[in-house]
Amino acid sequence: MVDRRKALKVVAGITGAAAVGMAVVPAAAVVAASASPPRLPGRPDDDDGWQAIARWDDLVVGTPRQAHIVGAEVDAWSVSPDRRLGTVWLLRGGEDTASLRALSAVCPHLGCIIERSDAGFVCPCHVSDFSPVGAALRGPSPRSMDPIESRVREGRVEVRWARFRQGTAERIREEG
Amino acid sequence: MDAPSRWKAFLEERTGLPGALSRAVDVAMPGGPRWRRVFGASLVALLLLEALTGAAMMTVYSPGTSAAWSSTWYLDAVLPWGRLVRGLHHFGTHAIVVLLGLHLVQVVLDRATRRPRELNHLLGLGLGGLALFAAMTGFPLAWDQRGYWVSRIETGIIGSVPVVGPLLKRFLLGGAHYGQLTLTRFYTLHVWVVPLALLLGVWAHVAMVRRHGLKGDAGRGDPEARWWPGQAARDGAAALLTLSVVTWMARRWGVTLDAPADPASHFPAVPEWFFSPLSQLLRYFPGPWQVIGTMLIPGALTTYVALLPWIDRSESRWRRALVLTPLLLAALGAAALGVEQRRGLASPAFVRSLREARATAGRARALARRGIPPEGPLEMVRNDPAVRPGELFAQHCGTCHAVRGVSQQRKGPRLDGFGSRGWATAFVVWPDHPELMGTTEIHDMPPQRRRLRDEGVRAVAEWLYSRGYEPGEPAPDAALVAAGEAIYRRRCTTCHQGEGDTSETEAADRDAPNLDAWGSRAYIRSQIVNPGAPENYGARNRMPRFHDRLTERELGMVVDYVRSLRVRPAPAVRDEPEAPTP
Repeated sequence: MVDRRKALKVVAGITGAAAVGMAVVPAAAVVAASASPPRLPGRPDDDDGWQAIARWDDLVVGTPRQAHIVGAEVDAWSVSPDRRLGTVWLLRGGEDTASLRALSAVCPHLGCIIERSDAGFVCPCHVSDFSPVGAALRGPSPRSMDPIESRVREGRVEVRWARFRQGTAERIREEG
Repeated sequence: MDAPSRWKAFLEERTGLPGALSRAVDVAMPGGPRWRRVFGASLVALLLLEALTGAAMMTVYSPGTSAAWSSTWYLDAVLPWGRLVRGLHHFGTHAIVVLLGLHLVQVVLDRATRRPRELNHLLGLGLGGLALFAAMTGFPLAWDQRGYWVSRIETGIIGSVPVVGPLLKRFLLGGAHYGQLTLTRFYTLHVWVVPLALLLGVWAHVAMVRRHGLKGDAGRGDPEARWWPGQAARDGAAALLTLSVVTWMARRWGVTLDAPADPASHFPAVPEWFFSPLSQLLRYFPGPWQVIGTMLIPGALTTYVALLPWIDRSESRWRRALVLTPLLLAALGAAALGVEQRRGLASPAFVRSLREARATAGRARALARRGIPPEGPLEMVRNDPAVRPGELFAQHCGTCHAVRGVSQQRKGPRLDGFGSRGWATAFVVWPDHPELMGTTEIHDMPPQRRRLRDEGVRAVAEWLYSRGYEPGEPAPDAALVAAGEAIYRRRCTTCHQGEGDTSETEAADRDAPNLDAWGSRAYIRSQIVNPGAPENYGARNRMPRFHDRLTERELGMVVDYVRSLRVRPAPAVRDEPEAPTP
């Protein structure tokens, strides 16, 4: 009789736990899946990613110029054309187009947008100071401003937008 | 003391939890465990399933008329596990309805509604109503055609209730119209108000069960028997089986996501099977009698069930049979109504409607894979590049221009094959062909085959084709194009305007169109926007201008559509007629 009672307890425990598990597992799995959601299945791979955002002739040596990345914003299910996706600072060092540099305006610390300052650049949120070429000088930013791939083609300044992980000393590109 | 006991003592001293748990499972069940008493526990398991899958869906779902369908589609089609979770939530509801029915039958037959359990019986009925209300408020949340239309009908019924109906409906809808506020209200009811009420209600229901003890079978078996563990094992096994069946159904069928809700469309709206009898009952009571089907009959039945503890008091089999027979008949009647309604679904009109709706739904889901525009899924479907241009053409152009499959009118040239070599050839050979300029009032151009010879016609057609050629299409023959252009510039520009005019006639007096960009997007656009422009058909044109009848986007779609006609067969004209047609 005691054995039977023990067996019933085991059965009750196992079946009850299994029933709860059948509800918990799918619910937890879908929440976990949305942490790194797949791409929209019908969207073609993006082009090579280069986009023109300014004219080389408009850049002035020694004066950084802000420019916006514009493109289709893919956000979960929605695709919105012609949205501002990001901001970069363009620097022209001289006459040679090889002197072009582009820096992401996203602060490597916690992602605020970096502004110009007398010393070069500053992030207004937690006062990280950067030199005129984006090197971290003072403040909490763990690294210098993130460089964005750039080039000059037929007089147009082109960049390839990228996002980087925030808060790390190492520069790690974030996909998607 | 061993380790588990020490932990138990530790927790008991500080929280009292272990003791509370032991007392919680210590419920009297005279006569010992019975399989037929498992439904209540399965219902609790299903409510847990609904709560968990519901919360999981809330991390994705977005209640807004332009995002609800999109986020549901995203959950369903893109996120791993999403389809299963939505299916579990959906079929969990079905299982709850079934088990509520079985639970009710069991407590009634086992006399478990009688004193002192009358009030718990009423509470149980109320919880059943809440469960149906949860289904009703959850169904439209996907904002797809079926959910939308079924819910509009249901709120319409609520609105037709005498006296309080209109106010209740306005309160539910958030005004007079079924729209954005309706969705957010249904959402709030579904994810907060109803679950909270259910939680409190179920807690009270179970608390009363514990107070009264389970009904059990006094006089049979062990009178001191407890719920734990004998009945608990049966309850657990039943819950596991129930959830397995629900999981199987969710995996097997999933839940269909219909096309985005479209208030301006027709849709064959059929409620879930458990609302079928009510929906069928509606058909028998026209106009002011509707309230009989929507209120009186269901109301009377519910009242009868609610009063059972006081009506069904006898121990005599015969008297009990007498009391319960009306319920059996009502159940049979409901089943018959449900069957009757399902039979109505086989009618040709319904089947056709359903097929159309499924096709639209399939198209919507396929379009969504590319991403849904900010204006929402309905606009996405309306502007489907596979359908919308054809619709626009049929609406604006098809009244005059024939196109196979869209229109058969004859007040402007047939446009099948427009822009192709075949169409150009047909036109040059016999401009007044009854499907070309023969449909218009302009008959100035004579047939050209005798004048240009077959080689000349071929060359001119090739040159014309090259004017609208786009990469990806069959490439024009360069030598022929050069020959054709030479012929055109020498022999056609007396009437046709364009580069290299040789004519001495004033440009304004020449009303044959400039063909330098014939068949190109720019040419088609210009013909649509201003066909009477000097570079087109001039003063003798009879085609209306469409510059303010189409938006820029629609204009682009119509141009695309006309371009797409290039691959269709043009009217086959090998030679001009022997005697020119009048």
